[in-house]
This record gives sequence, C-alpha cells and structure tokens, in this order.
Amino acid sequence: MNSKDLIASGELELYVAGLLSEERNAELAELIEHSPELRREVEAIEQIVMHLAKEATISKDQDFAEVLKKIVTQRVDLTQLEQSETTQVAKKPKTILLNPLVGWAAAATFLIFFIFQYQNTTEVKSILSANIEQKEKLEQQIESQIQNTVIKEELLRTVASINTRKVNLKGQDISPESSVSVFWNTEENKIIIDASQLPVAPEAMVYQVWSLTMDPLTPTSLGLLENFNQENTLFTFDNPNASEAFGITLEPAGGSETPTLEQLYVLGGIES
Amino acid sequence: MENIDRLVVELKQHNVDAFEQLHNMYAENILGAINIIIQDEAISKEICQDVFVKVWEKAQLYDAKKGRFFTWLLNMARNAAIDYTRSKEFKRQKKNHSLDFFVNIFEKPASENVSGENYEGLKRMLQQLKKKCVELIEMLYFKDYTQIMAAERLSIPVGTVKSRNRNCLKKLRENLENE
Repeated sequence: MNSKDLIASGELELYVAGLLSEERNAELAELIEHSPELRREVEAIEQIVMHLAKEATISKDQDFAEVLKKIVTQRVDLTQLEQSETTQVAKKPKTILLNPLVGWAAAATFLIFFIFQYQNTTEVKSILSANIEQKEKLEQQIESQIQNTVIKEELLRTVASINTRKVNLKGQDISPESSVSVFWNTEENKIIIDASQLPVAPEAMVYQVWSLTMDPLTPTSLGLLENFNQENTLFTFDNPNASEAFGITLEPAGGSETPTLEQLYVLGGIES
Repeated sequence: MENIDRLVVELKQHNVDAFEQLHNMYAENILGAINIIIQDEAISKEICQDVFVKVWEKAQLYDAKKGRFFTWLLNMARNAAIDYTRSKEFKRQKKNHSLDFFVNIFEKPASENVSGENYEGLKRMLQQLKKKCVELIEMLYFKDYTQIMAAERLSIPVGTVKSRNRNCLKKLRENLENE
C-alpha cells in the first residue's frame, strides 16, 4: 500500500484515535517516521481532533504550578508512607529512634516547597529536578521489596544530600514549656520552623525569629511568625547567614529592630 | 513537530522545563477532552491536573513506536475521566446528565447556550457536519468506543466506521481551512 492509498483508507484517523492493534501501530509508526507525506497527514488529523477538544472547554487558564504542587504533595505522602512502613517493620530500637527524624526531615523539606513556595514555579522545578534521582531509586527499592535497612539507608542519604539540619530551640525562663524545631537546609539557605509547641501570641504581639552569631553576639532578624495559630505552625524563611544559634522573641506587632531579650521564648545553638 | 519529539525525549529524562512546555501545548485540549465526558469544568480541571501528574510519573512508559504522544495523552485523559464517572460522587451529582456532549451541542438551537456554558466555537464546528459524523467522532476520539462498539451502536458495518470517520474528519478539515 503506498502513502496515498494509506491516507485514503481512513486508517491514519484510527491511528490517531488509538484504535488500532499494537502491532499495526508499530508498523504505521515506522512508515510515518520515514514519510513526510504521511507525517503531515497524521499531524493534520491530530490538529483537527485537538481543535475539537480545545473548543470543548471554556477554561483557558491552565495552571502548571497546580500540577507541580500535586506532584510535590504526592511525594510528601510517599515519604511519609515510607517512613511509617519502615517504622512498622523496624525491630532494633536504635533504628526506630532514627527513622521518625529522618522521615520527618525529608517530608518537611518537601513541605517547604509545597506549603509556601509552590507559587514560585522555578523553585519547585529546581527541587523536583534535584531530587528526582533519589526518588526514583527509592521507588525502585520499595517496588522490589528490598529489606528495611536498605530503605533506611536510602532515606538517610536523601536527607544528607539535601543538607537538612535539625536544631532544637529550648524554652527559656519566660516559657519553659515551649520548644521549637528548626530544619535548616544549608544548600537552599532556607529554614523551616515547626512552632507547634509555642503558646499563642497575645493581641498586638508577634513572634520574631532571629539568627544569632556569637562573639560578638549579633542578632539578625529572619522574619515574623505572622498569622501564627494552632492550625498554622509551620513557617519558612530565607537564611543566608552563618547562624550559630536561632532564637524567637515576642515583639510588638510589626517586629523590632533588635530582640527584646526579656521576651526570649526559645533559644538553641547549632551543634557543630 | 520535531520539537515535540525532542520535548518528549526530555520529558522522559524528567526535564521539568520540557514538561512545562508540553503541558502548555496540550493542557487545554486534554481539559476539553475530559470535559466532553465529565461536563463540569471545575471537576475536569482537577482530573486534567491529575492526568499531567501521571504524565510526569509515567513518562517512561510512553513508547513512540506504539503511537502519537497526543494519542497517549488523550487515552490517559479518557481513562481518567471514565474512571471518575464510575465514582459514587459523580453518580450522585449527575443523575440526569446526558452522555452525548457533542450531540447535545449539535442539536441545541443557535439561540441557546449549552448547560449555561458558551461553547460557540464547538457548536459552529459541529453544526457544519451531519449528525452521524458528530456521533461517530465523539465515540471514537472522546469516548471509549472501539470500532466494533461504534458500529453496533450506529447499526452500520464495521468497515463503514473507518470510511465514514475519514469523510467526517475530512469535511471538518475543509471547513476549518475555509474559515
């Protein structure tokens, strides 16, 4: 059958619809690849179908960032699932202690981009690209049911590769019960703050986060925990500083130039 | 079109820029294809996003030897939409929802908009065709009909499906070229 006969047969239209057998698809794909005439015809058919489909919607704003957001969300779920699966089968107490932290840190690192940064498509894109290799390795290993210890090592490597450090800020005199976890990604120069163990700020007051360097003591404001409440306890900030400690003070709304040390709620140094 | 082949290769290597470009090229068409089945723009949009998540996750499975990239996308979109129509959620919402989106639009008088939405462009395209073309195109491209199933529903020989479909698309193509 020559190209003209094939075009006249109506088979290319069915090829675009995906209605031919796998074998026939392969034969046609081969013919189309080597014949500009067939290729043009197939593209023209495809254009008509695409045109019809396009007219069947009135929404014209396709948001790519939403798609990325879903991909990142799935990844957070996956990480958490791995964490719980790993914890369930873990038998040695030593590894049980390690796993929640590792899983948490990995999930939290993805969470930054999910909760706060997803509008910034470029950043999400870079994190997706950067982590794709680890994720694929992880998935393969889960699929092939390789042993628990291997998965743990992989998770550990994932966290290590994204340079996330956890810093515990302890409650100070004014609020000994408080504590805050800081996850500092030194590669991305970002920190995530889990402030779920801080009391709700009084009216017209706001918590302010400080990066501290010692000797001489120099505080640098990283930002405010705006709209902090029981549902909203995760915050992210840029932190390009060579921080040696982090602290959180309570300040009048809008924040202060320098920290009010009498209102220092939590403080924690970075272990070197 | 060589451009698409290159982007697809890059997508398979998990290149996010290539993914974004392909998304921008096809998202509207895929959304429309889903909406033909779902007939609800908001739900269709959600499903469309999910389809592209799948495109990213399953890109490795696409094989150019088995068909066009668009065909692969369209197939995934159709399957996702049809799956949704089987959900309890959908059945509750859409008890009286008609299965034939194209035919509905085709048969609406010019003065009436379809389900409150304005699909004027589509209506113009379809109303230049015969009803038997409108039915067949919807079944073959936007529903999960095989040639045999379409032949049975339209009470025509299977061989006629192929030739009729060609003539219908040809007519559509001529109309578009003359616009």
